[in-house]
Amino acid sequence: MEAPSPSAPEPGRAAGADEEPEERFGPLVLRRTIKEDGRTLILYSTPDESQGEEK
Amino acid sequence: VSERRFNELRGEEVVYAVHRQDRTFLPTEGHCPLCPTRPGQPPTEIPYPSFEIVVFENRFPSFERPDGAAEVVVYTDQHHGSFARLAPERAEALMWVWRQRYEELGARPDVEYVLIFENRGVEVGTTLHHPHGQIYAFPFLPPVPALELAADERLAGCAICSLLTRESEDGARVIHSNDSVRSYVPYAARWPYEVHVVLREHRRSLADCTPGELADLAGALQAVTRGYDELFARPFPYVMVLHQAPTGNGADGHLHVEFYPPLRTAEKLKFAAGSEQGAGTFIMDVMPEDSARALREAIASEA
Repeated sequence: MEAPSPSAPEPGRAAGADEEPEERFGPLVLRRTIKEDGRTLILYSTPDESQGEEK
Repeated sequence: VSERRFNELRGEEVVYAVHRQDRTFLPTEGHCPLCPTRPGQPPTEIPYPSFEIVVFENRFPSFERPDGAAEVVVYTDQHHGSFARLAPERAEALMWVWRQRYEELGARPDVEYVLIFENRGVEVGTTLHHPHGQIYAFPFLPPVPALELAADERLAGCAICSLLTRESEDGARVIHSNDSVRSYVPYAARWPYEVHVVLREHRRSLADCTPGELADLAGALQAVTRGYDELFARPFPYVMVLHQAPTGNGADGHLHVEFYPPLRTAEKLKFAAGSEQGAGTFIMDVMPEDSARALREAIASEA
């Protein structure tokens, strides 16, 4: 397995972006981020979900 | 910045977003802007090494503050796949994401209508293969939802409720049903394999749905899209659009999802050409009852 580069983000962490506290919406957890160019990005996760793709 | 001009002859707005000419066009997987940012690799649009669902403001927006918004909805961090092949839990989570964006964007004073859609396949203009959809938050009420409101007036009540009743009583064009949702090829479909996926109870929008209805909607949409892929044993191109109540004027609506697929056979496209564009009258090669029968069989064989 390839080793992460020193500048690579940790799993679940954004690189080069400002994050705000988590929010809840129904079963979702939201994390809002402001990208370096000022655009908003929202990361949605579901605590219970284990996989997103069906084989 | 986009420019909006009113086309007097047609009575509708036209949006000029000339910066979109430079948007990313069919990149290779190694240059996909919707993949996660992998350790040691160049950054993508999404600065995370893995994710479930992400929404971000479009880098090449058709609308932006203070005149609406344009967003990208990425369904998965897996480059290969489709809405149809998402795990059911992920598809259900996507319904909640759509609902959250509808509520948040719809609450903005500069937004009159929230359009959630997916263009799938190069046949309908997809420029990125990674499974994703888009959201346009319109600063005005576009013509199609305005037509639906006019249909409500013409039928003296909710047009979708009325049409759903007719389709349910007839049954010839129904292709799938579950507890909360019914899917059918409409009586006067304008595309060979057009499908409407309709909430059986009158719900103005995703915001009015119960959790069970959202789960059933996800299941119905996956059944239809899997049936599409089964129909010609190939990835089936489509435009998928959520129709919901306008957010700016308090008008009513009935949540449903319309699919406009361009294929009329496995290899031939239906084009909106002379009669469709010049006269506004669609000429069809396939009867809705026949395409419904084929889709019903495709869904049943795939399930």
